[in-house]
Amino acid sequence: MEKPDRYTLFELNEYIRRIMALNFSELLWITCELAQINESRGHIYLGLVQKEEEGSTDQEGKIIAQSDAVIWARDLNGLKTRLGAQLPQLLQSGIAVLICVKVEYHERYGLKLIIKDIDPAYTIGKLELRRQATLENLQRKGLLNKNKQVRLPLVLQRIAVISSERAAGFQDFKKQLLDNPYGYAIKYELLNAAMQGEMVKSEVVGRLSAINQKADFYDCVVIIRGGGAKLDLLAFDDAEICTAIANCKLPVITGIGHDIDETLSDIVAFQALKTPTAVAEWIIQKNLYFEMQVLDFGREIQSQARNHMNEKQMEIKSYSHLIQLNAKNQLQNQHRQVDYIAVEFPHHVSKVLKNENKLVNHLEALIDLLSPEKVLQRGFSMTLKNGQPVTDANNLSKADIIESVFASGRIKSKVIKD
Amino acid sequence: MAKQKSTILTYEQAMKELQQIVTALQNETIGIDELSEKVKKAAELIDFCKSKLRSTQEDIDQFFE
Repeated sequence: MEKPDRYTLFELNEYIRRIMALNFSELLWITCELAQINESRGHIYLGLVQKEEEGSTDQEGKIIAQSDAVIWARDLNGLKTRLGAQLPQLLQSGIAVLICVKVEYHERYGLKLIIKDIDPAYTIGKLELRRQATLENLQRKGLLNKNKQVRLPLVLQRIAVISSERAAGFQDFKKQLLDNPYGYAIKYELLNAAMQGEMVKSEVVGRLSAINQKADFYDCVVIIRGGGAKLDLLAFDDAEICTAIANCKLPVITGIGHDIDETLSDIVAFQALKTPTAVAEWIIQKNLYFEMQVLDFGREIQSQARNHMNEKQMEIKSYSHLIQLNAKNQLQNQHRQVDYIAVEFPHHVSKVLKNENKLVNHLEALIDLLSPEKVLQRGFSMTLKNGQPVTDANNLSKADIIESVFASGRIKSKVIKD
Repeated sequence: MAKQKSTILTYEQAMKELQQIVTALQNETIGIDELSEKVKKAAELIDFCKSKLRSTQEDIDQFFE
């Protein structure tokens, strides 16, 4: 048969198909990024891209390759069995994947990559690398501890909550807060945001920005969601979210429900806790601590005041004691004096009188003894010359007339002189 | 002494005042009159904190009228 000058489109495409089938008989493993993902009638249709590597300046993010792909329903079941819960997490826009594909060309639908398998380890590894890079970047920019240096108010009563209304975590948080055993009144305002899926980044960042505008209205920010596996939380490793948290004017507390690892959001936040319930508990404890401090002050003040009062009382007591003592002493002195007068004095006086009596008696006796009469009675006589006693014999001359007085009688004599 | 209830106290202010009262009691020799005044003020501050912890802003505003 002659080769025709022209071909129909179908003939061309069919030819291409056969060439492709021939050259691409084997399955291939390729790396790429998932761009769009759609489900229809049990099949999953994906758009694959490859972007310019990060690092090159203005070319970063530019798409340099693109392809359509599909996971047929029958292959999907196999994947679900093999990968389990990881599958939905892997099939997210923006994720880098390592997939096993069959290249097929269809006359009508063109080139399509039929995905037969996915290697989750690659994705996790890639995410880990990106996480590391983001972490280093945040560190370089000094954002790792920035939020930790924001001043935490003494009491947390106005909470800005970034969460999803439907999330179980939020309900637990609410309940814990409202049912707190100390009766604290804690108000919260829910700022709704997707906590998984594609919209997490933009919505969380948006809410944080809005909160920053109204920073005076709240005491702190809380980001909470229910538990999830590693891949589920990868939005919280995102650089934009972390930067927004780091730059928040209020302290940010995270409780995004994970078991083992921290996300970067946890690292930049003011405080990271494991679950939304733990966050509520943390808030209540902060308020409790404040109240305990206040009550401690109260007790201290009471005890100090009591001490002061006691001191004053003691002072007063000791003064009154002193006064009492003084009075007692004085009284005792008076008594003693009175006693002296009442008892001692008469005794003393009678003693003195006795002595004086004795003296007087002695004198009397002495006088009596020395009285001339007594002397004369002892045999002495008194010689008078002209009525005057003579004591010196030389005063007498011959023929003087002297009178001698005896105990009884007198006689006159004439001096013979010798 | 008439208390100015119209000034809305913050927790930080109340805490600071309480600390001051404690320090004053610990350091200075206070006369009996001033003592009872300070104790009264402290009790007011503590009551304020305890009730503010348990009521929302609206209630507080009412409280302070």
